[in-house]
Amino acid sequence: MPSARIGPISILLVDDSVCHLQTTGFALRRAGYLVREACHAQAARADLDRNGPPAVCVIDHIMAGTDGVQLIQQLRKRRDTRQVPMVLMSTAPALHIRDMAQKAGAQAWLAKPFAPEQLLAILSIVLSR
Amino acid sequence: MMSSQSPFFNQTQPPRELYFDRHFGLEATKLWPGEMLATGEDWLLVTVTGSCVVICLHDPVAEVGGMAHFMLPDLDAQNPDMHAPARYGSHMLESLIDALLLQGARRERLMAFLYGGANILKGLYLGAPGERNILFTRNYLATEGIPVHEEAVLEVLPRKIYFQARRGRAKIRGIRAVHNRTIFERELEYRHRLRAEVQPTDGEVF
Repeated sequence: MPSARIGPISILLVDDSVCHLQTTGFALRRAGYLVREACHAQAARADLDRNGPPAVCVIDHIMAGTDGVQLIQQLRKRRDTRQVPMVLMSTAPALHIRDMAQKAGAQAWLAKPFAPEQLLAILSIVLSR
Repeated sequence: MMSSQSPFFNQTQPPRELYFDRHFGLEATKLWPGEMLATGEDWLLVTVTGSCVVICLHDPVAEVGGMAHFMLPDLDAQNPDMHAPARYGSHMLESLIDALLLQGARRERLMAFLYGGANILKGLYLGAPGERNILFTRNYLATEGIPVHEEAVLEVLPRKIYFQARRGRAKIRGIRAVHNRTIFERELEYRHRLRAEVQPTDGEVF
């Protein structure tokens, strides 16, 4: 039986760039989302252990240690995040991001730099499915 | 040995022209406005800047370094997106950092060398683009926690910068007035090109 969603939609935003976390987080909050932030994969996993699965994860590709593609693959194996939609964002060329996102099992991808409206449009589609 | 090859960034593939610099005894390559290069090779990265920012980053443990040469684009008068200039600047800097991470660098070890922002075109630009470029870059570095190890900014003369990527050493020299016109034309061409380059990015929902 599907549970009713109470309150704003939660997003886990994972990015090792403080600037990008700030600007993207601000834009998402202004759009009404509840944003949880993590600056690397370990912090993301700790957040999930503490707070449970969000409605969607938005994950940066290139991070030291476990990168975004590896993180998505790890989260796909977790029972609590197996079905959570994932969006991969990257500074890499678009063709590379598309390929990596598909192989990792992401639902969407977005090349950096993007305007907030572009991410919001993608989230709107992903969350409506 | 750290590979200079990256599957993701064209800029870390062998550059278009590599020459031997006899003064430094290193293979060298030149960067133009709008370009970025990160490498673990013992290369000399060379560029000339006027009002543009030139930022060099180095990880002394991984022994990798890189350079980005850019300016913030102007706002499009017909379709002003107030955040587009900052997005472009952030993209250049984040791309350089990402390219270095792929070479084995760690963010917490990076140190910056900051140059440029010269006011060589007084009266020809509205506002002070050099100052704007430097201010943006300083704020970005401060937010990301990357210390500025060395700088020479907001001067009146253009500068030629020689950055030893693996060793993390920089040398700069002033450019005589006779070369200013070439620098001016190059930056003007880049500034015009930026208007076409700052476009909506790609994305897809599968």
